[in-house]
This record gives sequence, C-alpha cells and structure tokens, in this order.
Amino acid sequence: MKLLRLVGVGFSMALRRSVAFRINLVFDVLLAFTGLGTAVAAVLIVFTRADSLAGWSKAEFLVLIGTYQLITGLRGTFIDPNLSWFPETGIRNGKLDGHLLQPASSLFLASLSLSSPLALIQFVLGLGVLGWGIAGQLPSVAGVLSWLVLVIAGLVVTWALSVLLACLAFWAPKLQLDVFFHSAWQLGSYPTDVFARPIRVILTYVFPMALIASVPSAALLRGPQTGVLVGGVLAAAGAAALAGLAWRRGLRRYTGATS
Amino acid sequence: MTAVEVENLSMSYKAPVRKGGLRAALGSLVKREYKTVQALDQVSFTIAPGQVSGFIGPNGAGKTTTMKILSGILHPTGGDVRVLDSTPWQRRSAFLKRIAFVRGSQPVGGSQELTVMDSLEYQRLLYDVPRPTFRRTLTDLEALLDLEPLLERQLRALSLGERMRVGLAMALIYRPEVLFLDEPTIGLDVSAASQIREFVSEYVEQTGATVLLTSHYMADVASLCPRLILIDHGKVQYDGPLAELSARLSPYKLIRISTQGDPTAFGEVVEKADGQWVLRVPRDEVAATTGRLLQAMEVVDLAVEEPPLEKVIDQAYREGLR
Repeated sequence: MKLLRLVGVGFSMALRRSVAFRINLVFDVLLAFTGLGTAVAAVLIVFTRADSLAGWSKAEFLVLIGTYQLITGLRGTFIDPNLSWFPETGIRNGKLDGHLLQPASSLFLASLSLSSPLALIQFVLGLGVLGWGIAGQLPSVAGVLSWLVLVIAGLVVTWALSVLLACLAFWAPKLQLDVFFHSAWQLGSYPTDVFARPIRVILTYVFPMALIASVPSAALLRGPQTGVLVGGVLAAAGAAALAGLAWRRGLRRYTGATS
Repeated sequence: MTAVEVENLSMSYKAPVRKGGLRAALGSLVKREYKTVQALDQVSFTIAPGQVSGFIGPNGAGKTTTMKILSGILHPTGGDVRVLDSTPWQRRSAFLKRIAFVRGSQPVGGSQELTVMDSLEYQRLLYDVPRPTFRRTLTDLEALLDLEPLLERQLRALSLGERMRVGLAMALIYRPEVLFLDEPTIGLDVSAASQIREFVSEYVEQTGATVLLTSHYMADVASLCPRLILIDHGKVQYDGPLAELSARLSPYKLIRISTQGDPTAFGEVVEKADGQWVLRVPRDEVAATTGRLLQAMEVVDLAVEEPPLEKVIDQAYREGLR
C-alpha cells in the first residue's frame, strides 16, 4: 500500500515537473505521433499489396501495433526512467546508495519509484490504434480479459528483464546492454509468425519479446487459450522471482562506487 | 547499552591491476591479475548513546567505507556490527528509520527539479512520519537551519551551503537516533561551515542523538567531538579524548609571550613578530620554563597553548602514531 502511495506521489511530482517544460511537452506529443504514424503507415502500405501477412490481416496488425505501443508507453512511463543506464546513473553517481538507505524495498525504489508521465501519450495513442483495429469486429469478453492478463504478464516480464540487465552491473560494471534491449524490443512489434522458427523460439522462450504484443494480441483476436494464459502468468512469476534473486545477490557483491 | 558496536570489522575487495602500456592491456585480456585491497582491517570500537565521536584519518583510510557499512549500504567481508541492536546490512525498515547518513559530497539525492518542500513531503511518506510530528519537526528545523526561504526553491538551484542545510533537513525530518555525517562541511565557506556545526551541536543537545562524524576540518572535530577515533590504512590507530591525542602526538606545548627581551635561550622559537614570541617547549618542562621566563625577563603577557590540532593530525597522518 505504501509502495503504491510512493508511486502515486512520484508520478504526481513528475507530472508537476514535466508540465513546467511546455516546449518539451509539445515535442513529446509530436514524437509519439511520428513514431506511431510511421509504424501504422508501414502496415497500411504493406496491406495495399497483400490481404494477409503470415496469417495476420490488416485489422489484426493494427491490434498488434496498438498493443505494442500501449506496452511501450507504459514501459517508458514506469520502467525506463528508473533502470535505463543503471551502471552510470544508479551506481556511479550514488543513486543506489541513496535507495539503500531508505526504509522501503530497494528493488522497488531503484526500479519503479520514478516515472515519466509524458510517455503515457504513447499509451493513449496505442489505445486509439487498438480501438481502430477491433472496430470492425469486436472481441469476446473472455478475449479482452485474457488480453489484459497477458499485457500485465508482459509488463512484469519487461520489468524483470530490465532489472536483470541492470543487475549485470554488479558483476560487469562496464556492461551496458540497454542498446541491445531497445533493439530487441523492436522485434516485439511484429507477430512472431513472420519470423523463421529458430528466431520464433528465441523470442518466445528465451527473450520473450513475443509476450509484449504478439501473444496478447492473438488472445484478443482469437480468444483465450488456457495454455497460453498459464504460460504467460508463469513466465511473469518466474521472471519476477529471478529478478528479485539477482538483485539480492548483486547487492551482496556491491562494493559502492562513490567515496 | 551501546548505540554502535563494531567488532573486528574487515572489508576487502579485489581490484584488477595491470601495468601501463598496450602489451599489458592485451595481456590482461588473457590473464587477469587482481590485487586484494584491504579497506578495513579488524576495526573495533563502540559508541555510547548520545555520544558525538569524530572519525578522522587521511584520504582512503576507510572512513567512508566504515560509514557505508554502519548504515547498511555495504556488506562487510568480516566482523560483526550492531547499530541500535540491528545488523545494518539486513536493512530492516525499522532500523533504517532510526538512522541517517548524510554526505557532504552529495547532500541531497533524488530528482533535482523538485522543490525542497516536495522532497520533504516525499521523505514524510517514505519514513511514515505522522503529519503533526512532521509539522512540529519542520518548524524546529526551519528555525535551526534557516530553511524558510529555501522551501519553495528547486533542489538544483541551491548553492552548496544551502544543499547541505536541505540535506540535513531531509535526514532529520524523521528524527533519527544515530547520525552518520560524512564530511558535512566539505567545500563550505567559513560561516556556512560554522552554521552547520552549530546546528549539529544543537540537534544533539535537543534530541540526544548519537553522532559519528568524519571531517578533514579540525574545527569541526574540535568543536563537536569530545572523542576521536583515528583510522589509517584500515586500522584504528587511536581512540580516546582529543586532548590526549594531542598530548600523545606532540610532546611539546607552545608558550606565547610578549616581551621586549630575547627569550631564545628558553626554548625553540617557532614564531616571532613585534615583541611577540612563540616558543616550543617539551611538555614536562612547561612549568619550570615558565617560572624561569617570568623571573628572568619582563613579560607583558604569557600563555601556554596546545599545538594547533591541524599540525598534530598532519603529523599523525604522515608519521603514524608512536
């Protein structure tokens, strides 16, 4: 409960901060529109030549892009402001030391206490595109519910992957894999069906980018599948447990970077 | 009953080493060599509740590392530590709410765009301070730290002295019982530094807090800490009253006299200007020498002084304690 209140206060303070910079606000909105615009445009162009791509129709692709944008927006709002470039921002400038002194879970403070509300623009736009995609054929209630469960699972996995990447800093302080993560993230904006089998396996089981858009979209469009739902929830629980473990192990090794 | 209990505390870590040059750099790719750095070596001391202790030593002596262990940031590699009957690195919330660690080099963390009041509010929530207590403490701190003009300012726009005041306010808003202050006056001008010193001493007087303070400014230590712990090369070299350290390190005292005569024969002259002389005299001969001086020449004024603490400490850092 206290953690939720802290997120709330952090969000409200971040909002106060970001509305103070009006020009930033305008550019963030423009940037979000451009990013989404190009993604949607690419799909529309492809579908002037074909009716389906790897079994996905135009409307289904829009659902996928909407879901992807929505999760990307949530990630940009609640996860990225905390853990990106962790070796530099967290360890070398002593932010982690500060978190370790505070009477709340250090993993929570380091990974979720900051937020950047402007990234929610992308979330809203994602919802819009999603709405456009399902406008022709409304999904079932079960589909919507399983979509929701899988989106939450996808977010948890995203958070856990960010934490695991940040934890690498405890063992290899120079290693910054953020660029790798951000590139791999882009793969999430395509249905896994378009990839060759080995890549599909990797994206589903090893580095589960499939979970962030492909799997929830499929559930929304084609109805829930118990196996997929259970798999998603288990993946989220497993990833979160692993992240917590890595964090605790990492802190034991932590020798501080400031003097 | 102790507030801080440190027993045989050790901390070592492996640091990669290699010689200069490209060859050595490429060689280290294949075979990496490490050197074990012993940051702390069997450090032991205890601090009673309400005691203010100075923790001094040259750069790299292990002061900050000790403070980080005592406040729970680092896990030591050996030894036992109890602070307020808790093991610090277990970092239990109840424990963290009772201690504060303030660093002069980074007095305020968190988002620099926030105002001081916003940051204090966040602390209130984080440390579960009830609103009435918060308001009361804030009023006290406002008066002690002259905080009122700063409350609506953004953190990033504060001067160094103001940041330190705010840093202290953020740490003390939850009324910690044990305070670790790591060079709280670093980089501050004379009056800002003395304001911080006055504040710390008033806070201690009001709340009975236990304080461990590191500083390179002997004025801080001399005015705040009846007891000194001197650490060097990761080992405690001295633990006791400040006056005793001075006596132990410097077998001399200074006799400052105003006279028209020439007292050169009575001791080593350290300074002379306008009939003012400063003589260095072995400690055990001070009384006798003073007597002879007063008999032999017309003395306008005479005072016996301890050698300046800065000099004593400098000597201790360079030559170690005998």
